[in-house]
This record gives sequence, structure tokens and C-alpha cells, in this order.
Amino acid sequence: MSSGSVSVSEVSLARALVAAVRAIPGVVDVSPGQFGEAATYGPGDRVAGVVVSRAGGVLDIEVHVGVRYTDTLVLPELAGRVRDAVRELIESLGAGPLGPVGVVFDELRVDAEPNA
Amino acid sequence: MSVFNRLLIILLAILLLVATGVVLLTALGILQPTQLEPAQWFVDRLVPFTQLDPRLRDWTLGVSALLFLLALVLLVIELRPAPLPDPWITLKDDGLGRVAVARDGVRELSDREAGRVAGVMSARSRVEETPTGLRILCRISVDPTRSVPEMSQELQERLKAVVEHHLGLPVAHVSVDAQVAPLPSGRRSHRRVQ
Repeated sequence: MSSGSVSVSEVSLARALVAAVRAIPGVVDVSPGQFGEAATYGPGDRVAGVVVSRAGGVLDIEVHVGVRYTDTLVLPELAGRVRDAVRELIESLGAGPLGPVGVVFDELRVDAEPNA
Repeated sequence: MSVFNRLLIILLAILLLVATGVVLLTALGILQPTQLEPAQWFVDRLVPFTQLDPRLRDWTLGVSALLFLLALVLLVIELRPAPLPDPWITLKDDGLGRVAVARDGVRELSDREAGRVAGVMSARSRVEETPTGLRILCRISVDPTRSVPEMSQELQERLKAVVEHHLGLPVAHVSVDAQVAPLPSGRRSHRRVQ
């Protein structure tokens, strides 16, 4: 049996990342960015909410998320959970060395106060 | 700078531009005072600039050109639109990557928390970044039967605590601009608490 390298395309990676990020408690959904700019593009394909690129073989990832304010929400902690999920997924896929992981909270939903 | 001061500077810059421009054109001989015939006041004041000796004419041209340029620079500075604030507030930027939050989301949070304070009828906030932390400017419309200083103090403490808790960034300053909700007679009063 011979060993070989595994190559995962940026779009496939982005798709997997979207699913992983959506599963994080506190995240409502990924966000396409305030101006719809946050996406990964492949041949005839587009995955919104995650920007995956490679620079010198190192993965550069930026995740755009929407969250809902709750009393327990602490954004830096949630950003840490998003980063951990991204790192775990990249390691499990063996997709290559990971560089910085940016987390952008584009949408912060504030539920309307119920009328008394 | 207040809108009034800005308008005043724009007006003065335009007046200076026109005055120095007309003096320049007259001293250069391009414009004859008689061409401004309908406004006799201008004609009387421009005629001396057509009879200057060469040395005085050079000085007049130099000073007028300088003032003209100064007025032009002032006008451009005042008419230039203010730069838009960054739509994101950076919470953290280290070797692991950047964590940022939408400024609008923080503003909405601030508005919601202000609305939770008893007596606050409506709120509109603005969030700015300063080197020492966030600066929140909150305009509120309040119930006229409530004590504005007490309400403002509660609001300041609440906004600081909530925003620091959710964002993990220090809030350096909360400014509250309270406006008593319009009474039936339509009388209003403003109070600002720093």
C-alpha cells in the first residue's frame, strides 16, 4: 500500500466548514457578509459565509457568522469555539497547514422586546 | 465642529474667493470695473485697483492670489464629505486571526439595552472606537415624569456593563443625550449627562 497526499478543494472545504460552523451552539447561521462579499468561489460554484484561500500552501480562512444576542453570549468566547471547530475540521480532513482564522460577526440579531 | 460654524466658514470662504478673484481680475486688467456697473458699490471699490503703481500692483496680485488659494483650500476642506466609519469593530487581532463584529449590531444592542431602562421611550445610539475603549453616544427620549439624572446614570452603567460583557472590550465613555418626550403642549427640553 502506498502513501499519498490528500487534496481538498477550497469550495469543498468551505462547504464542510459551513456545516461545522452551523452546528456550534450560539451560531444562528453563516453570513454572506454585509455586502455579500464573504464567499469561496470554485468553477461554477460559490459557497457563501466562509472565505477559504491558500497562500504559499497555508490555508487562510475567514468565517462570517450571524448570532442572536442572549444574556450568556460573549463574542470572544464564541469566536474561540468557531476557531476550534475550524481547526478540528481541517485537521480531520488533513487539508493542510492552517494559518490565521478570522471570525467576523456580521449579523447580531436583537430580538424585539415583548410588549408588556 | 458644529453645522453653524461649518456653514459660516463655507460662506466666508466663498466671499473671500469672489472678492480676491475680482481684485485679481481687475488688477490684471482682465475685468473692467465698469463691467460691474449695476452694482455701483463694487465699481467704486475696484477702480483704485486699475490705477496701481507697478510695485503695489505686484503686492496686490501676490496677496490676492494667496488669499484666493487659502479660501479655495478652506472651501475644499469644509465641503469634503466626512470619511465613513469602519463597518466593523475589531475585538481581537492576534496571530490566530482577527475577530470583528458589525458596528450596526453593537448599536442595536445598545439601543435595546437603553430601551430596557424604565422611563426610556426610545433610543438611538452611535458607537465609536477610541484608543482607550469604546465610546457610546446614546440619544434617548424619556418619560417626563421620571428623573432624568437617575435614568441617565442607570443607562450609563447598564450600557457599559452589557457591552463590555458581550464584546469583551472596555467601554471608556458613555454619553447620554436625553430629550424629554414631547408634552401635549409641544414643549421640549434637553439634558446631557457625561
